[in-house]
Amino acid sequence: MRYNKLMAAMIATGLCAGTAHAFDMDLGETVERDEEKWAELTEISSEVEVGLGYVDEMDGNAYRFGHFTGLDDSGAYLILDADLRHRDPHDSDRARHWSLRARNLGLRSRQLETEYGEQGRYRIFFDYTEIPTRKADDTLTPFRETGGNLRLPEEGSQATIEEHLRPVEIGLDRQQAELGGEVHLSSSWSLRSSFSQTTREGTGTIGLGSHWAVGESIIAPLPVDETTKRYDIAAAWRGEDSHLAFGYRTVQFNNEYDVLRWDNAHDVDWAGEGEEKARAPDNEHHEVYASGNHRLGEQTHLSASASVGRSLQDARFVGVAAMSRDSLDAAVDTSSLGLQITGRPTAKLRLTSGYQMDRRDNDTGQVVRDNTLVIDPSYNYTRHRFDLGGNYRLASATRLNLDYRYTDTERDPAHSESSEENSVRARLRTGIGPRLSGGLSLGQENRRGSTYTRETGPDELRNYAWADRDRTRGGVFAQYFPTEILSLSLTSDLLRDRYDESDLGLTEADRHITSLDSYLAISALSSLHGFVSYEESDSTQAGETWVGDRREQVLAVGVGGKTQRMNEQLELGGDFSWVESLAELDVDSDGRLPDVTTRVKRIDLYAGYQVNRELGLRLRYRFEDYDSDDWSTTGNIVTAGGNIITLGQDDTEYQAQSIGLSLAYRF
Amino acid sequence: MNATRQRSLCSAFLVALLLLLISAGGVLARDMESCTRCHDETWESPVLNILQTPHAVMADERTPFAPNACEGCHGDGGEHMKAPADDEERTPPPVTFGEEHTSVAKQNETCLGCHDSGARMHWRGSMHNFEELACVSCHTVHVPRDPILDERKQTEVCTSCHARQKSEALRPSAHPVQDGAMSCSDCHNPHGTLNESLLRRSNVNETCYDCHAEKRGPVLWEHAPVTEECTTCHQPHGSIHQPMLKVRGPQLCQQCHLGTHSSAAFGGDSLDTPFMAGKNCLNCHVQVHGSNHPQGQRLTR
Repeated sequence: MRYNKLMAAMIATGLCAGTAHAFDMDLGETVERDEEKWAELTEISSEVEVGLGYVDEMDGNAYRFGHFTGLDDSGAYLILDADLRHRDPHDSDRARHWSLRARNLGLRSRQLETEYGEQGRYRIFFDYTEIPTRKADDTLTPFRETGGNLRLPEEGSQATIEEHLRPVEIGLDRQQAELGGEVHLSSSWSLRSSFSQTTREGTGTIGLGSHWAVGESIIAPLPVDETTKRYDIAAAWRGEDSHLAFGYRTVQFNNEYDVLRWDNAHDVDWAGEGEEKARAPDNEHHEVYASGNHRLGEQTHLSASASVGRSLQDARFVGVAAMSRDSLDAAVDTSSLGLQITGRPTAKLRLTSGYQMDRRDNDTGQVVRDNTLVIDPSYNYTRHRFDLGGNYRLASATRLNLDYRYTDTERDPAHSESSEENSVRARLRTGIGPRLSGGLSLGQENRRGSTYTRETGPDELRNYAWADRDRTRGGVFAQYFPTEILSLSLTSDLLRDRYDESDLGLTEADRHITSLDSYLAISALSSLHGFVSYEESDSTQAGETWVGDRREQVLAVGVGGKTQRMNEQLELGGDFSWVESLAELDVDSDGRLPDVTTRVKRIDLYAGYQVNRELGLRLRYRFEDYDSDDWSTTGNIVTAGGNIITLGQDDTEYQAQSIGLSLAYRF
Repeated sequence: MNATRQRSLCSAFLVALLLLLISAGGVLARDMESCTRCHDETWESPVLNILQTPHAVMADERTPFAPNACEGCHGDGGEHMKAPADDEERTPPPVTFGEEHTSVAKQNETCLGCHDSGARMHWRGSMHNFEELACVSCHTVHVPRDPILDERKQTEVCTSCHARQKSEALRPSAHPVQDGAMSCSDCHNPHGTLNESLLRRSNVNETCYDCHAEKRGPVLWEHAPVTEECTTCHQPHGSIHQPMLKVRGPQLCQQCHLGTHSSAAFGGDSLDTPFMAGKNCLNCHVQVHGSNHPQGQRLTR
């Protein structure tokens, strides 16, 4: 009898497996599979989205609405997104896959990612990205750009500048294309390579001042046309207890404009000779690098990384000075080395120790100008860093982290010959029951540098970046789960810097930031989230006859949520963020500067309705309210004193919205 | 046991095995089916999406799914498949991800069994490793596309812990991280590096030069803090001062430069001086990143 039951069970198992059935845990019985749902979960699908969007400048000049988004032109735009994917069935004898992902094809923020390959054998890819930066289009300038130079109408003069102004947009477009691939030569070896080209074109801004003694300067549009090419090839080896990767990369930067020739708009007669500035010169960088690790024991690992590079620059000098060389013919050697050993001597204790060296060695040599001035362009430094860290489990839910770091930096030539830093940090994390965890962190750092010496300037001044500094860090953090669906996280960090040896320059700085995050999982299909963050930083800076107190506050608030309704046919989501900042500066001898404020409110809403498995409707809405007040960049073309010709920019203040309706087809 | 019964038993076993092989396409697929009998399309935490991912590619013998199906990652499910007694809970599989049944170390070792090379080479001893983060703290495996590998969604994952960076990224002068044109992993390798702040490159400047190659130089007149570390002046995660400056000029410059005209107290409401309006110090010292002009020693040309 026993064997008959066993036989029946075996046959039943086979039959069940032979048909599309599943075992329902709740019912305790075998039920028929929902083939449509099964297919939806297991089969790869693609989607194409086509629609129309519209940008509406509600108030003010909303050119900046297009910053990084491409939404800078009022009116309609095309929505064209795609997510096309293919992968051989999971149980196929081939593992080919390809994908094409496109976003924002109708905007200047378009992105394209394509890939083709066979998993475990090879992969090739091509990516393309555009990033627009949009600063202002209400700017006015008397300059005419010709071949990267800034010229003025010969018939003009400072007195008639208003008659020669023309509008100019301040914004850049970055376009990057990358082609690459990877091939697995064997189970141990793989090879990858990529080539990319980035262009940056458009208009930035530049200060054109050459006569500081008379206090004149011009803020002008700067033509930008730059190309950067990168090539990278690397091999990787994977062994039983070791891994190794090594490669070579080169970066070549080309500036279409090696010199900026400009006319001085302060001149009484604009027909005079122009002046010039050097632009960022063409350069190239070559580097070989390697990285590896090795398992020394069951719980002990040794890691290492190293790189050796050489940066070259050989652009011809501009200007009229007689130089001992036609170009700088600069060469800078860079090198880095990192070592780390990590172990777990006991189940409760983990230790790590590391060393990093970073070196820059300018090998250019001296250049002589006008047979008299010897210029040594070299700036070299070597930094050594030692780390020792430990993590000890005091109890099942309590961990203590301790870290010590020593950094030594030597510089040549010496504004500050060397500096040493010691830092100790401790972090205790503990859990109080299943719903509450948290801890605190403390840190103390001190930096000691040799005296900062300058050709000009008071001896008492200490360079901010290298001055003696005592830094204290403190922080608390907590995570609380009042219920299974709600989480609250609080972090608060304090940074306190004291430059006790600095009578001039930065003497003290404090910074604290507190953030509260929350997440409410209403159901598997609905959630709400929110955060609030407040940061305040204060510092005191001393001049020879004055003391300035700086105070900045930033408040950031965000709330959002998403839900799926109507049997997951309808998806709704939204986010609201609000950032407000205030910067104050009070100088005891001269009084308080006007405050600089910025307020940005943004709303993003999303609705998606899936008509059926193939067809869906998407509705997206964005609203932005931007209001900044910066006295230094706004105002008259020629300031009251007549010494600065600005771009006449208004405060950035606008309200704009965009809405897009699209049809998504899934197949 | 008599011979007839033995023959019947063998026959039944062979029939069942044959049916399994025919229906499921092989022994390996049967193993998956034994899991998906329960963890099917109606399961509240959908697992079947794994079949759309690189983890479940049978033709790639490197994947755990190829020889062992679900058990490749979750371990031997024999005990888990046994029906529990009425008053007991079902025994979980040996490895469950994101849950307390399995230690973080054991979860991660499962992942590292395959993913311990390349960018994850230095995981052991890394900051996130020491914080005892599980791989699934950031990664989602049973979905067609892991959100953290999507530039537009990665920030959301990272800033769920890194609150300060979340706030800074929203500020008026920031990299396009919030807009999905950049991601945290463009600069950082969260799996660990031997560099400062988990940077992908050997130091801060090499990281910045990846996109800002024009700042590399070398040039005739270098500006020491620029050459040494961009973050001396810039706050890369976002600032209220353009362009991502830690402090506005001229006060930023005066932290290192006093003497001659730079000693002046720049305050009050007489803002028409060239040292205050426009680009303040950069109205003249425009080549603050270094100048290659023979007469550019003051970084003006």
